[in-house]
Amino acid sequence: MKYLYYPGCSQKSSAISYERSFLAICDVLGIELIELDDWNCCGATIAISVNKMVSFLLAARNLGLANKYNLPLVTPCPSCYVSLNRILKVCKESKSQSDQINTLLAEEDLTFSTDTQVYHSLEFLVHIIGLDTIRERIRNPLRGFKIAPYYGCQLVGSYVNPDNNGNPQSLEELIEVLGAEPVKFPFRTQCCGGSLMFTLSKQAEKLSGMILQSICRTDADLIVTPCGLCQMNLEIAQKKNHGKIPRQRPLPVITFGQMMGLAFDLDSGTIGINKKKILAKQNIISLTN
Amino acid sequence: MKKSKRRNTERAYEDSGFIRDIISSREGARVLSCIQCGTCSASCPVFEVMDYPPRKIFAMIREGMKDKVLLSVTPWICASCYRCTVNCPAQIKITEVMYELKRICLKEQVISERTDANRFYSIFLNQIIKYGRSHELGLMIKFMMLHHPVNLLQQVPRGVRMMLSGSLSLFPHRIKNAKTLQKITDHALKLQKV
Repeated sequence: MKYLYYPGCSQKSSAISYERSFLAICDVLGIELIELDDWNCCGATIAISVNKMVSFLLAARNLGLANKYNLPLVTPCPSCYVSLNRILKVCKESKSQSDQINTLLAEEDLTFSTDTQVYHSLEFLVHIIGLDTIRERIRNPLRGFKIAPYYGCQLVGSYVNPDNNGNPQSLEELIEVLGAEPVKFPFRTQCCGGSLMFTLSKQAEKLSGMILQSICRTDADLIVTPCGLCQMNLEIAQKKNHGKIPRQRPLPVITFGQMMGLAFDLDSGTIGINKKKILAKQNIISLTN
Repeated sequence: MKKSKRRNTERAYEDSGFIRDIISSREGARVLSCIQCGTCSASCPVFEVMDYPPRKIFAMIREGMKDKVLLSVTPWICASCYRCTVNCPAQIKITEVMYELKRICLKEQVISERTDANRFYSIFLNQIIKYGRSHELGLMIKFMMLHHPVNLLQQVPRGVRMMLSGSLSLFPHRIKNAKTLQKITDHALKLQKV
């Protein structure tokens, strides 16, 4: 099984442990990921706020590069997922827009096709690879663990698979398959404030604090998320103790790749948990031993 | 006070072209379907720091209150979380309208004094156009040095920790075809000013 891999900028820096764990579990599942050669930033929510054409072009260049391989594309970043699917949707609706972008891309001998499939890594593993394939690889079921599925906002945003809209279930399904119990809490698709980290940092911390507070009211042992930015933001907010988290025990925030890595019994180094300086490191270690 | 109020009403009529501009765009096509139910404002995680919550922005757009809408800090505070868009019963792509408003603000150079998000955006975009990828450390240093030097100092311990753990690279990564990318983004900028 070959797929194209589009990491997105943060998976090469602040969310490097997310990338490592995702690549490691794909390896275990026998999925061959080919990293898109010379990919560029998708423009995130910023390029589109400044110039529409530039933002479309940034996203489309990656699809143009992907076109050469003729394989479906997988990205671990929810924000990249939204940007790439936005351009696909816009160009499916408007041929003139699509032609205009292809004319610009021709400078680099690229053309993109609106038929390219772009999956988010979570959707990809749960719906394309399938829970049965995942189940076969479990070596260390996470029995007894209560896990809070925190999706963040982008995946339920406006360009996703309609069955997911507003009420996603894939994290819950994945948690159950791995032997743990998903915990219910109200803020699972609430924004963590990631995009405001620089421009309105207090507000961003407050949002993350609210999410943490809502999880702390449950008996969750771990928080799992499909977004590198959410992971970082929730960790920072936890450290700063914003939202007056009413609990002594810190809640480790891990990505779903790391969670799967734990269930597949991969070593901590491979799934990048040793990179995380979360206070509750010992909690994770006790899980693997 | 009275005088300025009157001036605003007069402007409202003058700027009806503003509504036309918004509804003619792909994003704003459904703006006139707004039923003023307030679901967007109630869904918004950051409405409390906005001067006008999204529902009011839509009412103001319909009234053609261009200056007030463009001077509002609301689009710059929008966290782009799409919660309002997911919930809107009139299927208005609210987040996309916020992007459109920001683009109009930048084009007309009418920007709320209560934000520096526009400066952050321009540093971010310039970096991407130059290297092809974003570089978190460079972005943080450049933006904070210029606008929040004190906060930058506070971030130093976190930065060092991240660097030691390998999750913050010192230097930006430049893609192989960065020059061509620059060239085509220049073309794009010429094609469309916003």
